[in-house]
Order: sequence, then structure tokens, then C-alpha cells
Amino acid sequence: MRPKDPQDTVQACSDIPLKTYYTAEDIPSSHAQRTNIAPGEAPYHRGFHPSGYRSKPWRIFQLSGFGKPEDENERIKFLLKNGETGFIMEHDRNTADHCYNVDHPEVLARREDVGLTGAVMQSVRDTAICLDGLPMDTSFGHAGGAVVQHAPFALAAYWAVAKKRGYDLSKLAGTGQSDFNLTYLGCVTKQQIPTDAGLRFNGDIIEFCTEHLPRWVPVSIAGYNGADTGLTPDQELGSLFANAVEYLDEIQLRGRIPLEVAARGCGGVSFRASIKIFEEACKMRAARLMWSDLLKQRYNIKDERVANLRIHCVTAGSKMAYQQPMNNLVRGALMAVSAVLGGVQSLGVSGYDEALSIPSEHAHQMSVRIQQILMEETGLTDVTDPLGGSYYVETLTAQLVEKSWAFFEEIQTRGGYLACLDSGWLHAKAEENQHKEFMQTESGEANIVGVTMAHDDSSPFEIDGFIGTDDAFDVALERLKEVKRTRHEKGAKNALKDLERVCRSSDNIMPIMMDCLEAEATLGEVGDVYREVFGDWRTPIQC
Amino acid sequence: MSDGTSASSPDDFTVRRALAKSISAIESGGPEALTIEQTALQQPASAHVLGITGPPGAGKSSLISALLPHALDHYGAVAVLAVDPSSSVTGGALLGDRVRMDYRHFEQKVFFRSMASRGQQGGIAAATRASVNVLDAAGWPLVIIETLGIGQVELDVMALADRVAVVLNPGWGDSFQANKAGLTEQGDAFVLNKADRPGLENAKILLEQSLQCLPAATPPRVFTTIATDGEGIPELWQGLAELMQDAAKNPHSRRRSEAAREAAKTQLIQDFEAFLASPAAGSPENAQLGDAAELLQRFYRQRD
Amino acid sequence: MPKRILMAKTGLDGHWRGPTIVARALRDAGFEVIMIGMATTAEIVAAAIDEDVDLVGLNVGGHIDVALRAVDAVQSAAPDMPIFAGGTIPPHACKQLQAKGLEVFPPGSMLTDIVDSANRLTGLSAAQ
Ligand code: B12
Ligand SMILES: Nc1nc2c(ncn2[C@@H]2O[C@H](COP(=O)(O)OP(=O)(O)O)[C@@H](O)[C@H]2O)c(=O)[nH]1
Ligand SMILES: [Mg+2]
Repeated sequence: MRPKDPQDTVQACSDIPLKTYYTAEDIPSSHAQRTNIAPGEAPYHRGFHPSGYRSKPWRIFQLSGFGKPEDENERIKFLLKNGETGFIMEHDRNTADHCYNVDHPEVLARREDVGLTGAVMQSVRDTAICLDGLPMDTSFGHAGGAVVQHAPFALAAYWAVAKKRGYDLSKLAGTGQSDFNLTYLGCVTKQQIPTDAGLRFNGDIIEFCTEHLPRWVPVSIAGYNGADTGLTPDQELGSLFANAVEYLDEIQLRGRIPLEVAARGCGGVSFRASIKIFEEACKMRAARLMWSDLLKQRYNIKDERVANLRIHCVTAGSKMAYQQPMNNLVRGALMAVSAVLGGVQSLGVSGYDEALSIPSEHAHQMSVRIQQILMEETGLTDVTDPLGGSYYVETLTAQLVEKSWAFFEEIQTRGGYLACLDSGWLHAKAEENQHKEFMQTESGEANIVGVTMAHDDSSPFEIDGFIGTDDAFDVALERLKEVKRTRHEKGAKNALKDLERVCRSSDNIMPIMMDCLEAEATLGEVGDVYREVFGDWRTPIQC
Repeated sequence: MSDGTSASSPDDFTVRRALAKSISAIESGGPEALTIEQTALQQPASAHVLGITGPPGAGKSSLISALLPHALDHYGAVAVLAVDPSSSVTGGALLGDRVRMDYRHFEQKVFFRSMASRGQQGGIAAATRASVNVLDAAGWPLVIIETLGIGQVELDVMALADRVAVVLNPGWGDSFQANKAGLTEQGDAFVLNKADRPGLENAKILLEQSLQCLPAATPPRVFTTIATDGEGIPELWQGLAELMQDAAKNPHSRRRSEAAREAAKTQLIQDFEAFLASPAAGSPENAQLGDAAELLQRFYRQRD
Repeated sequence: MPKRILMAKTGLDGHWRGPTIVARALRDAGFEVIMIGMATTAEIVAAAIDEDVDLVGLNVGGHIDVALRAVDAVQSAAPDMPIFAGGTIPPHACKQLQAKGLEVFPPGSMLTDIVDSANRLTGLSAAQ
């Protein structure tokens, strides 16, 4: 977007007015003194490590999966073969996100949709198929379980498979995410447990990992999911830290594990890398600085391994257009550049077919290739924090920090992050922003190439949406019957009874969840226990 | 089988659509609306009408959803008219009450209609009264009206319903201080919903105090509920069912009195005559009854 | 008289930005928009009938066959009720919906075009 007159005001997405150029005077004095701090030193805005990507390239980490567990397995292997350096499992939203089996009436009514956006895994047997031959012991694995109510099940399934394969849980590295933004703000599920029960789950996961899986990132807050729902970068940051303090305060209240350990667990987060390159790079820098300050000031934690935030980034799916999808290769690359300039440790690039369907094999391959090109050919990795000291970047970083803390405080005055989900306040913020953004494109104030301008496309490549498999539902239904027929029924039923008892108590839910998975209890049965014990969240939005 | 209340076969759809279309015709106004209401008023009143009012967000829709299974057990079929505000600028509206419904109950005989207020003050739409009469004539034994409750509690529903429940939340005293007197006089039952929120005890005391000041021999009952968990719902239904029974036994105590129906009839005839005298009556599109009225007639015949 | 539009999600899919922004645009254009969220085919049909809408809007967030089933059911229960759709609908699926007579608005559609379509389909403006 180019202003009509060069002197017209131009705003960053975070509603910060931008000048035509910056000088040393613009950098707030409180921040100016920090510009000489080296990367790898607190407050880490300049990077996680002095030698940055020279010592450790970012992880190539793509969301992947659909269909039957074996379809997902095949796609993950394809990505690993093409150069992915970690792997992410993706679960079917009909079943996993709702903790339903495929024979639930809501799912039966939409059977063709099963497997469209992730594989169906209703028991540990399915998870084992999905993980067949995958490097669980040497690779950073994302077990799925991005949705809070699904996380205990998904994690226990992953760990149960690892155990069965003889891996030492204490050496296992990975995450399950368990992110509130995803289904309490972003994609609100038809049914899910209330936020307080979700907080309890996440507290339990953090405690359980502390004891049994120290290398696991127990929960990973996804600013991405807030941002792509409509939160501005400052709001993405403010709400992410407001979310983090919910976890840390909960752990502190419980008093069962050292807070430093929990803070380390919460310090692996994800952000969106969107298309405004400098603002996004500043956001990553601001994020590290804020985390370090938050831990020091609120919890008196200074341990550098804890205060050094670890960031995974995903390029903004919502910036990927339906029209002229090849343009998205360029957008993907540029958004990835913003993340790399911001010094993130892990990255996923959206497919060029993002707005059409989940990624095709080729789109997925290109997402990896983009990252490989940036890593190998461009020199982006040569120097740590290459933007450091730029008048503009340092000023915007400082302004973002300030603005984000203000949003954080606003959330606190409204009872905290979870209360703002319950009341719908965050949803309203997101909706307002996206409405504004939409109106800008409708009015011609902002342009999207191939959508609002440059309509002529002479690409010889017609792209259509990826169609996965059409047997995911049938196979899942068969397998559900099979597991119920051949499992040790009494063992499964007893485990579920114990689960109900533990859910009603304040004991940690994870040990019994492991038992449930090992006893081959199924997803829907576990969900039924939740629904019975916790009831449903009151969705604040009317859609 | 075609009693007009369920819609499971294409034939049922036709009948049900006739009912829905007659409500649309009422909303559109004009001669068709008058004819429809007039036809409806020829049937004796037999439906029980329950009003649910209270400020926006108090949980009226959620309560109706939670009450539905009980109401269905009791009445066999339930119709709901849910009113939401229209924008005074554009005339458009977002009608979101259905989102709160648990559709599992809709497998039984539930007719649900969202209505925009279309500029009408007083918490209901201009068409709500006639719609109640049509639903009554069509054999729906219970009609629940949800008011829009903009800003303050709305009172027009009182003249339409046999009994009215006012829904409030903990903290109600703070925002409804000014309106308290009017409000407390209007409810036959009070529901403190969102009992899971802080301030319940205070709110209850405040409310009971102001209800005690009423001239009535027995002050209206106060129920506490959590609509979204089902807590207190059986008790609330029990109380409401008793109120409705009481209304049925003592017709004179119904807010929706026979006199009001008679007044409506007179009004209708006047409106109709005024219309016939107007130039619009001669226009070709008004020369005959519309589809809706015709279908409705057919529907009445089926019912008899 | 304001025209009435039903807005339903066919999938068990929580993306609310699309349907919300479209509903808001339609409301601002003077329509009464009845939100029903994620709904099954049977629920969509029942709502369309009871609410006697002038137009059914489907937000398609999942497999096209689920949406096609809803379209068939609405068209058989109320043959005269027009339907339009939007959401994540790849080109081949757009064609399937169009073949059933729907107007389809994939991502990137302008709200003004959607409002125009609603006006047209509810008879507020002449068909083009
Ligand atoms: C933003 C986004 C999110 C946000 C949520 C946003 C929200 N609250 O709605 C977040 C990050 C939380 C998210 C999560 C997920 N997402 Co998502 N998301 C997107 C994204 C990037 C943009 C969607 C969007 O909001 N666009 C802006 C709105 C305004 O556009 P729109 O919805 O298309 O609506 C326009 C038109 O379609 C039309 N329209 C829409 N509805 C209607 C209705 C009618 C009646 C009419 C006339 C017109 C109309 O008008 C609108 C204006 O033009 C899309 C990809 C893309 N670029 O489209 C993926 C996408 C929709 N998501 C997808 C997936 C898979 C998911 C997840 C399952 C991933 C995961 N496991 O984490 C989860 C969902 C979990 C769940 N339980 O549902 C897939 C869906 C695949 C499919 N259906 O085939 C997509 C296509 C991405 C992909 N390629 O994989 N997502
Ligand atoms: N905490 C809590 N929330 C409730 C309760 N009842 C309803 N809600 C929520 O309050 C909001 C408004 O409810 P709704 O039924 O739409 O209110 P209405 O505007 O009065 O019809 C929704 O988010 C409901 O989920 C309750 O008992 N407790
Ligand atoms: Mg309501």
C-alpha cells in the first residue's frame, strides 16, 4: 500500500504511526542503551545466541497430515526426505478437536469431512500407524494435540507408542502445543471443556513433563492462532504473555514444581510471521525482550536458559490468496524472511495452495525448498541480528514492547487472558481489526496483488485444491469397531472409570491418561468422561 | 400423520412452511397479515404463553434451550419466538438466539422463529402478538417468547404472555437500580442466572428485599440457575409449570386476557376496513389472498 | 421489508471470520441474518423452513460433499429458496456448487459483490 501523498500518515499494523525515516534520536533512551548488548545476552532481543544460525540453523517444521494414519505417515516421510528437520502430526478436527469417535452423531452427519484436515487417531493403535518408522528418538516431534481438550490424549498416545518402542521418555524431545488461542479464540469448536478445566489440563501436563519428560515442551502458546484470527502484532504479544502468566500463576499456586522449570516449559512459543517484514521482525525481537523482562520482574527468574524465549514461526496463512496461487510462493518466502530476520528457531511456510485446501505434496515440498534457499543461498544466516542498530528497527521494537505491555495490562484489568476468552472480549478485538482490514481492501486503500489489482494471470498452471483420500471415515469406523472388539474390555473400562475419578479430583490427569491409552480406551470415550465431568464451554461468539 | 408440529416428511415441510410463511406475512403487514390474524383469532385460545425477559446476555436463550426438554416432556411440542434488535440505521439485524440452542432437542416438535424488532419499542416485534395467535391456532400448546431486552428490561411481553419470567444475573442490582421498581412488579418469577458468577448471594438478597415490598400476598419466587450447566433447571421448570397451570386454572389472572384478544380482533377489523378503503386495496397484487394465507387455511382444515 | 438470510456452517469447523464478516456486511446492507453456526443438513433445512428465509447462506469449511448434501436437502424441501455459498472452496468444488445453481464466493471475494448477490437472489435488485 502506497500513500497518495508521501506525507500522509502510514501506520504499522500495530497502529503505530511510521515516520518517513528514522534517526538515532527516535530510539527511546531506555531502549538505546540496550542496542549494544550482544545477541545471546539478556534481554535477548538481539537473538537467542551470539553465533545465531551459524551454530544452529532453524528447524524446518511443517504442519502436515490428512486421511488415514498411514496417509499422514507417508506425507511426513515425504517431508523428512525433502529436508524437514522435525515433524508435526495433524489430527482430524471432527474427531480430535471435539474428542468424538467417528460414530458420534455430529461426525456421522459429516462423514466425508473426516480426515480432510488431519488423520483420524482414535486409539493408540492409530497413533502407532501414523508414527511407523518416524524418528521419534532423534527428531523433534509434534504430537498434535494442539487443541487443549485433546492434548492429554494425543500426548499420552505419542508417549505410549514411544514407550512401547523402548524409547526413554526422559530423552524424548517434542511438543503437543495445547493452545487456547486455537479453539477458544480462533476456531471455536462445537463443544469443548470450559477454560478452567483446560487450565488444569495444561498445569497437569507441565507438571507431568517436569517429572517424566524434561526435554518436552509441555505447552506451546500459539500467538499465531490469535494473530491469524485478527489480533494485531502488539495484541498477539500482549495476549501471549497474558496467557503465559495464567500458566505460571497456576503452577505457582500449586507449588509442586519449581517455577523456573515450568517457565522453561512455557518458553517455547509460536508466532505468526506476516507480510509487513520489518514490523514482524521487530515482533520477534520484542517477544524475547518481553519474556526476559516478565520473568525477571514478575517471578524473579533470571536463569538464562529459562529467560531465553524459543520461537517457532508460521507464515500467515491469511495472507495467502486464492487467486493466482503461484504468487503465494513469493509471499511465503518474504514472510519467512521476516521470521529469519527476527531470529526465530523454527519455521513453517504456508503452502502456495493455502487458500484452496491443505497443502498438496508439491506445495509442501516448495515450503521446504523456500526455507532451504533462504538457509543455503541468501546469506541471511551469516550474521546474527542483521537488523540490530537500525534506527527504524530499534525504535519500532521499543514501541512494540510498550504497546504490547499496555495490551497485556488491559487484559489483566479485565480479569486475565482466560476471562477475556470467556467474555468474548478478545474475539471482539479480533473481529474489529479484521473488519477494518477488510474495509481497507474493499475501499481500495490497500491492495492485494491478483485479488484487488493485477487480475490478468497468464500462468499456464491451473491449480486446484488437494483432494486427500476418500476412505478415512470407513477405515476409521472399522478400526474403532476392531479396537473395541479386540481390546481387553475390562481393562479399558476400568481405566476410563479411573479417569473419571481423577477428573473429579485434583490429581494429575496424565498418569491415568497414559493408563487409558495403554488400555486402548478410545478418544470418544475419553471425551465422554470430560463432557460428563466438566460440561461445555459457553461460547461467547454467535457463530 | 400431519399435525403440523413436526417436520419429518416433505408433506410436513409443506405444512410447516405454511405456518412459517404466515408469520412472514404477518411481519410484512398489509391485508394478508390482517386476514391471517383474523383467521387465527377465530380459534379459541388454548396455548399457554410464557414470556422470558431480561437484559441482553442474561442467558435467556440459553435458559430456553435448557428448559426445552422439560417443556417438551410436559407439552409435547413447543414454539419459540425470539426477538432481537434491528439496526435503527440500516434496518438490518443479526439474529443470534438459535446459536444458543441445543439442537438435540429439535428432533422433537420444536418450532423456532427469530424475529427482528423492526423498529418496535418494548422488547418485542410488531408481529409477535399476531404470531402468537397464529401458533396458538395452529395447535402449538406452548409458546415461549424471548424479548430482546435492549438496555433495560422490556415490558410489552407482559401483555402477550400468561406468565413472565425475568432473567437477571449476579450484579443485577448495580445496573438495574433505576428500573428496579418497575421490573419487580412485572415478573411472575425471577431467575438469577449465571449463578456461577460472583455476587450471587448479594443479588439474591437485594432481589428478595425488593420483591417483599410488593403488595402481593406471596411475592414471586426467585430461582437460581446456571443455564449452561443445567443447574437449577429442573426446579425452574417445575416452578414455571406450576405458574402456567395456575394461569390456566385462573384465566382472569392471565396477562394475556380474553379481553386483550377481543381488543385485538376489534383492532384488526378496523385495520382491515381502513385498508379496504385505501387506494392500495384496488391494486392488482392485493386482489386476492397470498400464498401464505391460502396455505394456512389448508392447514386449519387439516387440523380439524 | 427486510429480507431474511440464514447463515450456516456445514462443517464441524470453527473458522468464524468468514461467516462473521459476511453476516456483518449483510446486516449493514439491511438484511436480517439468522446465525445458526455449525449445523447438520437436517438442522439447516429445519431452520430454513421455520425461519422462512429468502436466501440460505452456506459457509463451507470442509468437504464439499457435506455441503452438496445440504444443498440437495434445502432444494428438495424448498425448491424456490435460493442458496449462495462461500468459504474454503477449491475450484473443482465451486463448479459442483454452481452446477446446482448456487452463486459461489471463494476466499478473496469482495463483500460488495456478496451483498449484490444477496440483493439479486432475494429479488431486491434485478437479475443480471
Ligand atoms: C485464519 C485461518 C485460521 C485461524 C482462525 C480464523 C477464524 N477465526 O476464522 C486459525 C489460525 C485459528 C486457524 C485454525 C485452523 N485452520 Co485455518 N485458516 C485460516 C486461513 C489462513 C484464513 C481464513 C480466513 O479467516 N480468511 C478471511 C475470511 C474473511 O475469508 P473466508 O473465510 O474465505 O471468507 C470469504 C469468502 O470465502 C466468502 N465467504 C465465507 N463464508 C461465506 C458464506 C457465505 C454465505 C457467502 C456468500 C460468502 C462467504 O466471503 C468472505 C469474504 O471474502 C485459511 C486459509 C486461507 N487463506 O483462506 C486457513 C484454513 C481455512 N484453515 C485450515 C485448517 C486445516 C485449520 C486447522 C484445522 C489447522 C489446525 N489443525 O491447527 C485449524 C482449525 C481447527 C478447528 N477445530 O476448526 C484449512 C482448511 C482446509 C480445508 N477446509 O480444506 C485452511 C484452508 C488452510 C489450509 N490450507 O490448510 N485457521
Ligand atoms: N457463566 C455463565 N454463562 C452463561 C450462563 N447462561 C448463559 N451464559 C452465557 O452468557 C452468554 C449470553 O447468553 P444468551 O443465552 O445468548 O443470553 P440472552 O442474550 O439473554 O439470550 C452466552 O455466552 C452464554 O453461554 C450461565 O448460567 N453461566
Ligand atoms: Mg438471546
